[in-house]
Amino acid sequence: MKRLGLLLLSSASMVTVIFCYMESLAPIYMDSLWSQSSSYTINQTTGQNGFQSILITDAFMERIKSLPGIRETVAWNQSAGTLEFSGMEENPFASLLMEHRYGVQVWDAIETAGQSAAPEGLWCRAYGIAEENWEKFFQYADGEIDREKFRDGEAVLLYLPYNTEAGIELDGQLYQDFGVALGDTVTITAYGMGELEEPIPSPVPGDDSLKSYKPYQQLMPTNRAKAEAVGIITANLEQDPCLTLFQSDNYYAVIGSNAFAKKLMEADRNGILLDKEIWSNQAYGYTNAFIYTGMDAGYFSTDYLMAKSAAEHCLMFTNQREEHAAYRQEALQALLHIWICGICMFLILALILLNTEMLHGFAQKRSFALLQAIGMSRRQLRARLAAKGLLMALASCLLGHVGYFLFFALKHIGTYQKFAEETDDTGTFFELLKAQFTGNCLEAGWSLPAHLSFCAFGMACVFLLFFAPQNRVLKETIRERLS
Amino acid sequence: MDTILKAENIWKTYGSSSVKVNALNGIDLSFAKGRFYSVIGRSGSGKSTLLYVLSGLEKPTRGNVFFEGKDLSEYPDGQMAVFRRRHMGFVFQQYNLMEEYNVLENICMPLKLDQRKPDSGFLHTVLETLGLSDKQKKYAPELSGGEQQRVAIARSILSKPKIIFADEPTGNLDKKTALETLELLIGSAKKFGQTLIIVTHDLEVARMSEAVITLEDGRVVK
Repeated sequence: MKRLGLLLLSSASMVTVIFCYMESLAPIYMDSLWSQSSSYTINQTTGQNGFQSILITDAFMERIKSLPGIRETVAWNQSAGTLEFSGMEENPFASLLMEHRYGVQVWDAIETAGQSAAPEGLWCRAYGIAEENWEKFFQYADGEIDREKFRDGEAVLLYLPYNTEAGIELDGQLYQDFGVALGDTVTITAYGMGELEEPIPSPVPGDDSLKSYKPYQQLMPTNRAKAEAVGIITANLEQDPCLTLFQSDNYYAVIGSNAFAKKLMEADRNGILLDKEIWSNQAYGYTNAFIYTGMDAGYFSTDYLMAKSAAEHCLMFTNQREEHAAYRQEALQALLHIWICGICMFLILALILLNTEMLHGFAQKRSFALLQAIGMSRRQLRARLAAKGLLMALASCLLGHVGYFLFFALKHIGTYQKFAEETDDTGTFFELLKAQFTGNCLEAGWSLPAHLSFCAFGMACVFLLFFAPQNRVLKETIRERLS
Repeated sequence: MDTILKAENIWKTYGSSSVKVNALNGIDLSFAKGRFYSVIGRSGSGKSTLLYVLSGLEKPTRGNVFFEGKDLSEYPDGQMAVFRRRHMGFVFQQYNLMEEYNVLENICMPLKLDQRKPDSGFLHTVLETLGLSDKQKKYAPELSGGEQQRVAIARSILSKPKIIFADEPTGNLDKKTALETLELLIGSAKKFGQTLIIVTHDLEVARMSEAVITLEDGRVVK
């Protein structure tokens, strides 16, 4: 009974260690996620009712970077067009998309504008990325990238997020080959939607270049850019908090430099369709920008200055900083609670265990002395104690995991109904546990080395709490212990 | 006669730096092989201390103990443990059995520590001699005081040590049981040719021995 009690105490200590690690994974992940999410979003002002868009300029970005608390900025130009590549007609997936006129939003826009003829090629998005942000994309691309060619707009990255083993199912058929390969030359075509009319009063002070458009009677290709595909990104960039710039229905996309995007915008006097309701023929600029701040930003002043700058440039401004900071604070608070709770529980259990082991050692000291008197050496006795301690640590580690699993299961009994309702999940409770474990632990940054480190720490504590008090008894002489 | 154990100028001092008590004051003794010695004296005269020092369970503050000519103070912990399990048997006043082991396991423990198996014939003889044959599977709390002391005696004999130390082995027993136990101990030691050193304050026990050592204030007076 005494041994069982000690084992249960040790196991409870291990549960607290495992608890601290496993329960802190989700808050750490959430904190990391929100710290990587943009605090402010700047978008170009869309040219609704046939008016020219106002884009984000380099000068604006430079000004933004100098504001207090700004950690990082990511700016890009997003436009729409069609993509062609050799052998496109033979590729079943590309053929299917052409047949189904994928990219229905754009065709809707074309039809709204009074166009009837559909362009050749596959609808796609084309991105022009600021040079300082290239690395963010390059890390996802396979192959070495020639930066000079990329800078000059002669090379681009292809973004085919579904071109993986899982592929994509369309019309009941699974497609894994999207037809474009590394080294292929791709052609992007941009389309004009109308002719510029006389300038109208610009909302930007001192800027009289804003113009309206008279729609064309039919869709007209205006610019064409050819480039070599030097890298293919198959990762889902929506998962990267810094790069949440792609829509999930985007099967084909081209990521290029500013030079590449400029080629698509060189529209003499024609208005260029960048995307639905986005028009431009002005000097190159970015359509979107994410602004990241640290936790130490001078928030209220930065909020004000950001909003003011955006308003002055007639750009659309969204402030998510407060919301994200609240999420981070919530995550950090949860983390703090978990660790305080875990450490307190661990210390209490460790103290109880230490005292119990000291009493146990005191009770055992006569037995130890007797063993030495009849021929056991101090080293043998220590080895025996160490072996017992090790066994105790291993057993408590095992039972600790069982204990944590029970805690995990108990925790989710209360949330089962809610979870099932929210997610329309009709699976069993075990499936819920599996899903929760996958979501909250495995996908939240669980790693075997870290887990083993925590286990090793817990086991070392249990071992020392067992071994040290009993070893201390051995310092007395045999006679002292026998009397 | 061959000397098996020899003590030279043994001093044992207890206490802190301010208060010191000399339990043994320069004792010189020799013990011959196969003989039975008793050590007597008043309480606090140093009898038990002498026994612990002679058996190597305690180190003298000064002086040397020689076992078959070898100085015990030179033995490291491991070698001392080997000496204790192979050449020495100790019977304590309190029975000192390990409660988590049964009688047989208690008796065989020194041999087990030495990674030896007991000689089954000799084990049988010892158990028969000490009347423990039917109690092999019993645990210490299930035995009477006399039975526990017999188990302790069996444990000290089984490894065929050359010398057995007994610290008032009958001190906690009634007179009849004490006499029976003592006769068994003396008989066993004689039978197996072992040197027996008993600490006692019972003069009747002392009269049964072949040599009596009298201690007073940590000195041998007779």
